Amino acid sequence: MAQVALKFLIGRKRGMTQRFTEDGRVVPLTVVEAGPCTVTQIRSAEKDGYAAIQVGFEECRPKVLSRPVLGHLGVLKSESAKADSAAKAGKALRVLREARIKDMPAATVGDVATVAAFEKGELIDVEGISKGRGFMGTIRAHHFNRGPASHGSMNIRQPGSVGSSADPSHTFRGTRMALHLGAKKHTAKNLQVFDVDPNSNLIYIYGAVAGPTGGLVVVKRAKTPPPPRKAPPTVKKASQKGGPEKAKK
Amino acid sequence: MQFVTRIERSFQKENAPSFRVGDSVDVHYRIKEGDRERIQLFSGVVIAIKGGGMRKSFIVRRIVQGEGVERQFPLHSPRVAEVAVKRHGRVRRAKLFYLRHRVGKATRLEESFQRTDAKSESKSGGQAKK
Repeated sequence: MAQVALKFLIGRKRGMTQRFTEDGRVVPLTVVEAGPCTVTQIRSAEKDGYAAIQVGFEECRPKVLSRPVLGHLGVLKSESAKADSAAKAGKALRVLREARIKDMPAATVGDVATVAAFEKGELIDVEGISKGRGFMGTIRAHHFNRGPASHGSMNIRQPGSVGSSADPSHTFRGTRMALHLGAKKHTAKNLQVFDVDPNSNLIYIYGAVAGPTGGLVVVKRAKTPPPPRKAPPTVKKASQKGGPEKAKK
Repeated sequence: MQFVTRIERSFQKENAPSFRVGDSVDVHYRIKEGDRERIQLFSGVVIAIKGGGMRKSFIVRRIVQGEGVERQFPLHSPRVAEVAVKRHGRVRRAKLFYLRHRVGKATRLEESFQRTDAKSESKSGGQAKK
């Protein structure tokens, strides 16, 4: 099993902590246990219409997955013909995700990607599912104001008017109302990698990441890195991306 | 949370200074002046220890030119080089904020001679709780 330097990893958020930089500053960090992710399929433009690398994460009992998924992962193959294709036997992996990134590294099915692909100071995007807040009123969801609580007011947390009268006879699309808040994919962009621990598959990320502790996250290379400006005051060791700004200091 | 607490342990100081609330201490604090690094002393009474794990910090109070000065130090900060205990005060509460209202002689704390071996004692007592 070869290693691929794929900057796309599935992982689990393990919570937040803080650490000291060399000069004694405290930085807030999210700890993510990411990878190792196994390449499960290579999608090509010719065959699938787009190029991507599909990776799987978190080994589980085969029983947990459906037969079609097991077949895709090559688990069934190893069951039927144990002897001849033992080497190609796939693992049962709970989560599959596809990376559609530019200049993808050459990978073959079975390759493993780890946090070693990331380095200190690098900018990354982290995707997670935000915590569900349930069905929230307009005050919580859109920062509406509240009506008066007393003097016979019947409008305390009501949304108020949602439109006009006979003309136009309907409520405009996009009018802000109560909604199911949270539990949505959210990508925290351009977060900086504070530290990487390949031995325990941990990656320390500056700042917060969507989702609960233990929630699934995807760590990937920053899609739209910001134009050079004042460097965030965190990492001493400069990478290619954080390097030039640091020179001023 | 357990996962993170376990990780945090590896970033904490192995021999974190041990002291208690009420102790008079000298905090050796690393200060950077340009390229040079020197150690500054801040001596006073520990009036509070707060937080746990990586976030554990303490507040030291002293009187400078008649004015009360308090400084909070993160225990595990690399800038806190050493905390030398000068004297153990006999106190009956965990936070000594009442000292803020006192002036002069009233701010003195009775010395505790029972806890002259407090270094080892507080290590097992105070540290284990983290």
